[in-house]
Amino acid sequence: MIDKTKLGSLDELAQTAYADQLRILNASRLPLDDQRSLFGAVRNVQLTAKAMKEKLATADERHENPSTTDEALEVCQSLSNLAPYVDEYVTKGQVPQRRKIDGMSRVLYKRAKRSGFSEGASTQFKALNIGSEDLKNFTKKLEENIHAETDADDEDIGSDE
Amino acid sequence: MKVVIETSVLISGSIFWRHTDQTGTTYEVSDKHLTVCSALFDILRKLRDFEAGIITKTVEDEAGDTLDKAVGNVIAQTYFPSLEARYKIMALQHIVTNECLDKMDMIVEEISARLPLRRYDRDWIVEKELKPFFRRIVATTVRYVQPPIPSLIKDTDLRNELTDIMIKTIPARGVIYKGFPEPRDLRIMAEATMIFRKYRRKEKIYVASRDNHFKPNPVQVGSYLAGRKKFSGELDATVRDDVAKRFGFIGEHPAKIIEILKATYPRELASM
Repeated sequence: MIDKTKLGSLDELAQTAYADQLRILNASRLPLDDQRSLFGAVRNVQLTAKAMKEKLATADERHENPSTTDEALEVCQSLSNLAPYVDEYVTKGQVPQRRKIDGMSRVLYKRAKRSGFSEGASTQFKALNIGSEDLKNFTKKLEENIHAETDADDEDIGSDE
Repeated sequence: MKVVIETSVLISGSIFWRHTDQTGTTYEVSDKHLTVCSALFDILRKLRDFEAGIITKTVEDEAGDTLDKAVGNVIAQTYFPSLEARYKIMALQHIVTNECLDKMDMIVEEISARLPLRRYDRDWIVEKELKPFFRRIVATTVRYVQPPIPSLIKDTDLRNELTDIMIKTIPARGVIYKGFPEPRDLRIMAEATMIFRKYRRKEKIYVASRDNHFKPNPVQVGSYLAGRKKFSGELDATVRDDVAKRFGFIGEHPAKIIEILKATYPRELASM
């Protein structure tokens, strides 16, 4: 049996994670790479906590109590693994191991997605409500940068152009 | 036959994100080589019982890093008028990056056979075999054919015209090669060499790549002073063939590798 009165702590976690994301973006002295890593990690925490609460709240209606809680416990392990690295920034303002944060964050993302504790990309995207001009700019710049980074030798025979 | 996937091909096959908004406008991020690279991955997926595809840890990590760097550059190049605008784009890059990494993970999981490769041996091959080899190679190759037109002829059109005439008459043009490979290319070459040696030369090892450090180089003609250089439409495979003779792996464009795979496994690919 899931005690729904306890699920409020997941709401708190999601709200704190959202506030932390804004704090990270406001930290102008943080290098961009560190900012992106921390932002991604904290956003994963927020999305996971939010989806986990929703799924746990309705688990008994779907007769999925034991399996959902087991999965939630597994995902909580990934959350706990990531927490010390995020705490290090929140409490000390340091980002000592960016690669580790990226790795742990990705593990959390994958585990949460596999267990159904994540929002789909389209739902997330709708909630963001990004303007078409910003979207166009982003996609155009990303394609250009990918092209530049892959050092493409395009005008060759065998190209699929 | 084994196909080692190089970073540029893994990236081209992984990067794809599409969104259609309420007005029906579609926004898409993809690489223009997506079609050919995805076709190669589809074929390798069908040939998984033959363990034909190999994506090494180095290539997987490099591809992830390249995507990360490209996304990071986009953020660095974008002006954010407010915290809200910054939040939206940061969240968007998070969504797009995760989608692309998911696709990359799926390709690696479904396609790649992975062999144990000792780092020490790889680095040894890079330092003791590949670097000396390529130092010799780049000392005798050119990046493009440049006929000797005197610098006093300044007019670009005239230089181009003279280049076209001279190129038809010169007896030897020199061997075309892109230049000394980058450290990441050398690491991938070393791994391909190790894979060739692991199979005791019984398997043909191809490296699927869009990078001219691996595959035959397109011949470019022009003079430095005339600006942009033309592609003649020919391919110079001299260095690629030398590398194949010395180290065992054959660098080739993914489109050509698809043709080779279709010719090698006609029945298997027809029946699936």
